[in-house]
Amino acid sequence: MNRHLPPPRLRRLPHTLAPLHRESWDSYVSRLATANRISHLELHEHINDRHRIHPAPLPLLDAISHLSGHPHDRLLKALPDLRTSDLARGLPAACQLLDDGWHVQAVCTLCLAAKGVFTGPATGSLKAPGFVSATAAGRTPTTRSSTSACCPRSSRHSATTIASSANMAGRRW
Amino acid sequence: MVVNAPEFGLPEDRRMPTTTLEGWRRFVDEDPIAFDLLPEDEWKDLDPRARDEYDEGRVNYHSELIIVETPTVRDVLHQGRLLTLANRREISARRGLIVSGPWATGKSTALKQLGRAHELRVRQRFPDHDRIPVVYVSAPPNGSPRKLATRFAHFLGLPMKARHNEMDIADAVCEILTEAHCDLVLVDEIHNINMATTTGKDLSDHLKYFAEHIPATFVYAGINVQREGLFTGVRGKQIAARRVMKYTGNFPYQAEWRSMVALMEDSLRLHRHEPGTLVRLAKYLHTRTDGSISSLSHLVRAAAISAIADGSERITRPLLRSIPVDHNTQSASSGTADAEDGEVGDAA
Repeated sequence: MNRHLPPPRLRRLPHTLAPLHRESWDSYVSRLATANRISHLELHEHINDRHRIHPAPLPLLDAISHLSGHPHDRLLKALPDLRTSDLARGLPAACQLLDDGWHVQAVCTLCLAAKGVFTGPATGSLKAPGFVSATAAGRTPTTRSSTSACCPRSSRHSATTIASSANMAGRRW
Repeated sequence: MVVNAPEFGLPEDRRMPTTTLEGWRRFVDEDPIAFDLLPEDEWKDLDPRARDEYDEGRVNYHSELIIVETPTVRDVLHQGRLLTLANRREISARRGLIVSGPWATGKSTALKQLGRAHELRVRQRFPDHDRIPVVYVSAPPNGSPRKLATRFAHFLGLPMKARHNEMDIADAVCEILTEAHCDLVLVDEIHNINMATTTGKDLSDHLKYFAEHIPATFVYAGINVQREGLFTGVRGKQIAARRVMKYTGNFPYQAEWRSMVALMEDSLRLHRHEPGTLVRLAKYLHTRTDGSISSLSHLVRAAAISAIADGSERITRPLLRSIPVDHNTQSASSGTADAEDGEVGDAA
């Protein structure tokens, strides 16, 4: 079966998306997968494919850059959990404030829709691909997340998103 | 610097094949290399290292040379354009085009030029859109539907796993291409589909599935497709009923041939080459190449590179004679080319 498949390469996906401001890398990869009609898991497997001939296994930032076609600096600015202290050094000071730590924080389906990102019916529980609900993931937003990533106006406007404080940019999945 | 080639020496990066989206986009983006010869005195004053680089630049230029717009290419471009326009609002039963002819008669070149012209037109019209207006794939030999679907997925760069079946892949491909406003699908090597076999029938059915689910004009190219069984049986008849045929072939020795030779000669960048030499050798070139544009292009390019390498800087009849062309043409013209000695003017 496998002999019919072309050798695995980490190539740019046909349909690319812009990363959202302060989106988690996992959420972004998930949206990329959905836009390209493949599952989140399959895209993860593809990034981690040990048999890839070109390019060889890459750090996460390079892998996402290859897949999305976006340059490193744009991804680093948008996706805070991809930053290491080394990588963040060249970023504007406003971006570096985030590097003290992140937590899962609310995202608003209405605000996302206003940006052209549609996440399913606005029922209060997020169904957005890649945006993991705090409840579903067994997490609750910390007190530090009282201000929503997108807007603080209502509970609906504070569903879930963004990253954890673990610095994941340096490691492979 | 008078040389306007993007790189002066050997190209450092390797091109992806045009059967991938990156490779295809690069093919569309790249204009033919331009190269201006240095004036005689500047050329002579080049130090050995600069001379090497200058010659490498010229070798790059001649290894690509120009694509001569033959009547076949013009005709395919015209028909392809007409069909994409006619199919624009068509919901089903879109018409297509088949380019058929013997090997090395410019079918793939014509197909790619059609795709390039269309993509450039779309980019001009929608400069800010992230579209995939053209897909270029080749039909797999002894192919199964899965292999065909994988070719499309491979073009797009979709990561496919062994556990995906052909319909998973086909559906993903169709949805992405529909969303990306694809309106021209080019399928080369269509002679690999033989309706006399079960796999050929399966492959044809699957190709039809793509044609029905992607709102695009399908253009096929293959070697003598009617003789290779593409139109056999009910499925074949169905294909034939919705496709316009265009035939390619070798060129007769007429004014058209001489004008193509003249165009190629005009594109040479050799310091001692006497203009008009190749036109005077047009009959000899026709005999050597049997009227094949592909063989002519190879012969002229190889001769130009040899002339740079040996320092003669000109293409002469003895030089052309020393360069072998492909086996088919050589077999066809064996003995006749030398017999032509004396019948055509010796240009050099």
